[in-house]
Amino acid sequence: MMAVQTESYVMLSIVLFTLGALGVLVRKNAILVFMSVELMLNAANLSLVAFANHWGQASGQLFTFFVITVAAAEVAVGLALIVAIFRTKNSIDIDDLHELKG
Amino acid sequence: MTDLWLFIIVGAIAVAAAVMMLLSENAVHSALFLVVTMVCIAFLYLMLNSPFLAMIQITVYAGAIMVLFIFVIMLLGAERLRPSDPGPERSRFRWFTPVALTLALALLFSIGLVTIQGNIDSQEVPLPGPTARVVNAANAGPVDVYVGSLLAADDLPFGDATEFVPLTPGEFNISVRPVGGGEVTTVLNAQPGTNTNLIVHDKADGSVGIALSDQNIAAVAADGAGRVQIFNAFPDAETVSVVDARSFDRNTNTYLGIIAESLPFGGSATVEPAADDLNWNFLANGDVANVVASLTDQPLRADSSDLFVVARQDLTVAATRTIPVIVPSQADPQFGSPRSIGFALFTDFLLPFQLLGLVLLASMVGVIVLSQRVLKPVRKIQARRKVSKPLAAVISSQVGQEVVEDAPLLPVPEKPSEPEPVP
Repeated sequence: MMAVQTESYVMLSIVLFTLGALGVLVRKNAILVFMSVELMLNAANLSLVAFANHWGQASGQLFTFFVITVAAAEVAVGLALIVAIFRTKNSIDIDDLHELKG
Repeated sequence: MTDLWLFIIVGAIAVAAAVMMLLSENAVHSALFLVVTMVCIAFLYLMLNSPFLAMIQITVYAGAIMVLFIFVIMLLGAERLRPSDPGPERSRFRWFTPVALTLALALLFSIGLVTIQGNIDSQEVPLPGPTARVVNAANAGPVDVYVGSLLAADDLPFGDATEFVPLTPGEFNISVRPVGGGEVTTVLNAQPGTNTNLIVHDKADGSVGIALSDQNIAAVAADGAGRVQIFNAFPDAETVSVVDARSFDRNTNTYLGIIAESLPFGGSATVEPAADDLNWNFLANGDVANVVASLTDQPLRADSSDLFVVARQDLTVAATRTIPVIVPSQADPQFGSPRSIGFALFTDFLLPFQLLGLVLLASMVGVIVLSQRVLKPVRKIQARRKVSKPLAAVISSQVGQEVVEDAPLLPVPEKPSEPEPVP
């Protein structure tokens, strides 16, 4: 095999996605949870670009561009939320934040 | 093999950095490991023929988003953060770690199985539909051209061409109606993935003919300098040769640089010239002395796919000239280049692009609103009310008695009597 098969890229994307999902479930620090979500998004992007290359269509790359942009907006808002929560509760341990009490 | 080794190494670094991100105690270390993962993924994008996305990944993700993360981590002091309720187990993982691990392994296994078993190659990409355009290289005046029942060209003068119009695959009757009368018909069999030029030209006997010529406007390779298709519609000679005008060799009296040799009438050739500016001579019947037309410093862009139709133009009753009718068209931008993404963004995906801008704007406003501090209202010191002295005087003159403002004096303690001398 001269070039790398698309299946290899998809497998790598799955491994990274699983690691990200693990991070969301297992870590207690809210910022770490957020970073694991970003890892999952990156894994999905890798899969999109791999298929775009496989079929020679630019729409896969375009969708990745959109995902990166939306992730940027989401990170900004999410981190602002975390900072606001930290100001009131003085903790970003998600076990302390699991109740919706103000 | 180099590709495979590169993929394995970079993929292993990405996975290792992701695992370290999950296991690290210090949040800043985790963020930096995630940056390593993202840079590895950007490298993989480069291997997947998407250089634009690789640069965007590094600039936006690693350069902006992760920096924002690190800002917030440092702001909150989260690298030293401990759980607020120090129980007997102060681990940084939650209690259901083994369950999560089992579920993750199950997910990995099942999706991996599906990926390996599933045939990615069984899907076929559908070819784009056929397109056609009309080029008028005949001297019979403006022409109307009907493709089936569609009016493809309306009063098209000499030297002009229409845009490519999309067609459904199938057979069409082409009907060319010059202004002066007469009608020429032919049949076009439109296949998916083809782009056909309908060239209306003069035939040697003076009548109008129509020729079909397929043109390939697929993406030009990065190292090519554009592509030119030359169509011979010159009725006054048997063949036309195209040569490089600057390659004339006086010793042998020939042109050394031959671009297209002996194109018959109605024939075409596709060339990929290396130079940016074209200096060509068109020779009739290969005769060096018979230069019917020439091009001087014709620019050729790197991603263009032009069509040159060699035709005779009747300027007045007696004078004619032969020119190559130049019909430029854009080749598809190269896959993965910023050009191709920009193309798609501004044509097919304009609405999502604008909506994304709105989303970004809304998130910016949201961040500003969310990060405002709530200020406590400052109490103003209440000033003591005072009645001004002139006003007090006016009031007392009207009321008739002194307005006493002073507070009543405290009772003065009696002076102690002089102590009696002790007898």
